[in-house]
Amino acid sequence: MSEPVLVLDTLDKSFGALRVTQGVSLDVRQGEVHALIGPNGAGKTTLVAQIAGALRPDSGHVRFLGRDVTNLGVAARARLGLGRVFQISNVVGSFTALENVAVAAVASSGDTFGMWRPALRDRALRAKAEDALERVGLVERMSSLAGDLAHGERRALELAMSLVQNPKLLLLDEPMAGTGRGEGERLTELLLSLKGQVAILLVEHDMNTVFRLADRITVLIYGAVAVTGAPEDVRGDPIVRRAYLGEEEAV
Amino acid sequence: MTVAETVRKPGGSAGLRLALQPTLVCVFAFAAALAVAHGLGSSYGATMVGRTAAFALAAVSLSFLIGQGGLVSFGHAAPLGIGAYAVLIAGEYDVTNLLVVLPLGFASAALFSVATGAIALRTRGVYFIMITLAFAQMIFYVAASLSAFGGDDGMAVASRSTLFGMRVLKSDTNLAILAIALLGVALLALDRLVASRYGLMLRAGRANETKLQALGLDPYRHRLTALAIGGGLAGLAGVLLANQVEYVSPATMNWHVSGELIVMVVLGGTGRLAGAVLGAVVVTVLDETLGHFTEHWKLGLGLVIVAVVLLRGADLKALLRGTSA
Repeated sequence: MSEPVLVLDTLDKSFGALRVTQGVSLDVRQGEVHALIGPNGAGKTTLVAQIAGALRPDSGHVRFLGRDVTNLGVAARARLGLGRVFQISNVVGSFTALENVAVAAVASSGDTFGMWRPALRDRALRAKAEDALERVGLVERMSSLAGDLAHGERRALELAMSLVQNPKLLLLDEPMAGTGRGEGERLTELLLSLKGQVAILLVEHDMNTVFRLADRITVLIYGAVAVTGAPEDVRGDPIVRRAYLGEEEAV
Repeated sequence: MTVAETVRKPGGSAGLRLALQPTLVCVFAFAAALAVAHGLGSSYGATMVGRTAAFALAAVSLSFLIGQGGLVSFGHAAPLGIGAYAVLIAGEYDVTNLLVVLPLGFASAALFSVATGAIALRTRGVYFIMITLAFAQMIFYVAASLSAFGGDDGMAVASRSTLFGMRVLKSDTNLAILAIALLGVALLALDRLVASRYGLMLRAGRANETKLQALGLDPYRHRLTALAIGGGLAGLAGVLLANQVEYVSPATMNWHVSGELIVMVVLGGTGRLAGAVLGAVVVTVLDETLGHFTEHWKLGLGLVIVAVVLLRGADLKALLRGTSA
């Protein structure tokens, strides 16, 4: 079996006396959707920040595509192929959808200093951007300002911005957060359509989505990995039931 | 008027033609004003047109930094003054050829902007504003201490710039033509730059730096380049001003001047580069007209600014967003 795309090797992170990440090890294999779940305060956000490169772990290593990236920053990891979709939609509101995707395409290209040719008149760039918008079903909206898009559309736009960069791993931080039922359903379908094409680390609260999408699930409790396994194993795991899913049963 | 409007143009040639329009309007308006002044035989009129065009160039260069790059420099008088001193100092060494003096003014101002910008860009928001002001004050006092070049008082330039010994700028009309031409070229080049890949990265960095980082680009070098371009263009404006008044003093680098340039940019709106031209016209015309009646003409300007900000608060908000990113 080929090497995993992402490997976390006993990551530790403390804020003062609070150990937010405790010896976390996990891996994301090629083409797999690996979901990271856990109750509020389990340290998911801190872990995501360490994977993206916004936070340095106190100890342990992050390996991406077989390379130790522990000491690389956000931009450097992104250039290696780590695409990130933020918990709160993060697009340039004053740019059109097409321009947003163009920004992503240019940022990851070798040429960010071209000063003469108008970027959007570059046919290859435009085609690439439109293709990414097509994949997420936003192509009719490409001339709309990102700020005018509906919440779900903005999430899709962010996804297009990642896809245009041909990422090796997509880090999705609660993509369903704040979406309505219809929007959420469309987004889930969209993610399902990506399944197998790109490795995905999915941080998500919505259990329906998680169980529909994930190949494996890692449960984080109090900053430590409680269990990693296939969805059916996780669903049945007593620790998880008590700490997390059990809440539902109690109702 | 937001950045979006300037950039929301389709890739077609119609879009480009639209983008050219404000530039053409500016150049034609200045040319018409100059033609009228020339026709009336008014050298005062020609001087005013040239002076306004020079300040418009400085304001446009600052608008590029603020509106497109989100870099609110409160020290833009420094590169302006450096351009002026380039004329003075080169003149003292008998170098007056425009083809030397213009590039020299651009390069020395750009060099200053890069050297100070490399440090200033490590800060954001209000700190960036303060550190650019601090660097401008430093160069102000350096200029004031240049006793060989007039020190505090400044001194008259040896002569207006020439073209291979020809005194082409002897007439105020010719000087105004040069100023208008430089303004037009700067506007065209900056329009082009803003729409380019480089411009796209610069604007994205202004609007959402976190996202740009997550997309793999740290816009530091793009910003430094923007400072070099903006500073260099301000240096060109300084060359024009030194030629126009034939006198150079540290007062050109006074922080009041930096403030006035920001006022021009805000008055005209930060979204469009050509807006700064309008702002420059309003400020210089008010200076000339109200300034004749009262020394306290800036009170009038203050009221105009308050009115503009109240009527078009969006621009100010955009400005603040740029600084607090």
